[in-house]
Amino acid sequence: MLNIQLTVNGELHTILIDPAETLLHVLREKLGLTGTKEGCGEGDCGACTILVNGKSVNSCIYPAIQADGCEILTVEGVEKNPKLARIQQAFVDHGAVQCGFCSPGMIMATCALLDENPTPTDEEIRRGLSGNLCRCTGYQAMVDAVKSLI
Amino acid sequence: MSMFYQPLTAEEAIAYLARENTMACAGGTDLYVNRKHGKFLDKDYVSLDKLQELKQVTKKADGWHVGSMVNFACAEKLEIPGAACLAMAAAEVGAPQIRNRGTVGGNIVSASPAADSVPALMALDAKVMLRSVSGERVVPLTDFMKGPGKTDLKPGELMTEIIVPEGKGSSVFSKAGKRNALAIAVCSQAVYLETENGKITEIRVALGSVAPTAVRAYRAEALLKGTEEKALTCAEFKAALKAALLEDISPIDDVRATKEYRQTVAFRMLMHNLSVLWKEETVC
Ligand code: FES
Ligand code: FES
Repeated sequence: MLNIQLTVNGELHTILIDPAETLLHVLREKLGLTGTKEGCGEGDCGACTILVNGKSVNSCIYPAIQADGCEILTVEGVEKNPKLARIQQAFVDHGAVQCGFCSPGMIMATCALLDENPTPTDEEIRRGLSGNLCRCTGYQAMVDAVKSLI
Repeated sequence: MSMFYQPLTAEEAIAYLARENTMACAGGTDLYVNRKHGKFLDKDYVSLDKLQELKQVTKKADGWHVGSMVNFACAEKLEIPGAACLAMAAAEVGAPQIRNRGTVGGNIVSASPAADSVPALMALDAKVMLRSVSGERVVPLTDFMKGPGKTDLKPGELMTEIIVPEGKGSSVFSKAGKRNALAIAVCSQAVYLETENGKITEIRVALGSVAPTAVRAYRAEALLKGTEEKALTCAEFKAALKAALLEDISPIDDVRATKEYRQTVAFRMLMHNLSVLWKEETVC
């Protein structure tokens, strides 16, 4: 076991982890932040997407130890982060949420996309969200939601 | 339980890798999938994540030295003359989340026959630099790749850099998969081309997902060298080229595609890539 320090949604935590534990496991099981979902657990679905130092990553295949000292933003950050809150509202307004399982990951991927490119084309939106699978909506509603934010 | 070392310098990383039962962990995008399937659970890991020296891209006399820990988000923005195929291949890797973590070195060492960056680097005649406590060696990438999941990486070695020679020609990368993002290639291909007075003076073709490792299509290259563009419209030449290419590759049937489909795609891709490059070559 070893200690790492993470700043999660602006709050500093010192956490005792197993050496090879994933960041997803730390967030959900050690910090109780269950907004971040586990779909496939192997980097294919994007349900576990979070931002580490501003970059979107799949937390299910991210060694927690490598995040030591990093800034982490998860969907729970929506409470304090107006940018995330706007994205969440746009998803609600456009019916881009059905069962909602993919939504936390989609919202985080959207956040990363818009940070990097505030005026994406349709093509760029689809490419930006290509790492996030949704089994309910058919994606158009999400593209519309993102477009409404440009 | 596994140990997880986090060295800050390549020197230190090499010292850890010299220990029994250790393996390197780059971005973890392959290792952590393997772990989920019960593989490598008994290993100790040496994280390369903090090695800033392996995240640099520098130009030297023998070409561009791309650090093995350069991730695909960075590689897709590289502007190495003649090496557009590398940036294009990097842009095709996974999805943004994977490109932010997956590294060029990791992609090579994992040695998936479908790795996107490997054919691109092979078409560029890249070499890899390997360091261990006992010294350093440089190996052509074509010799380094040994089979699915197998490379010439010796115990205790760390891949530090990939050396990409600067070319005066142009290159291109194409990939066919079941969907655009996160799809494992059914066939991928990189072509590097130089022409002079309307003739091909240098050509390197490399393919992924059609053999146990990415492969160079030496027979097809030999036929193409010295030819003019109009040869590509001649049915006889095309038939000979296709035959040569199919000898260069050895695709199999699997869940993603049949052998015949891969053969057809490989040849069409070659014709397509050649016409794209020919246009680029004649414009500049
Ligand atoms: S749960 Fe992480 S990508 Fe699917
Ligand atoms: S809303 Fe159900 S998976 Fe996307």
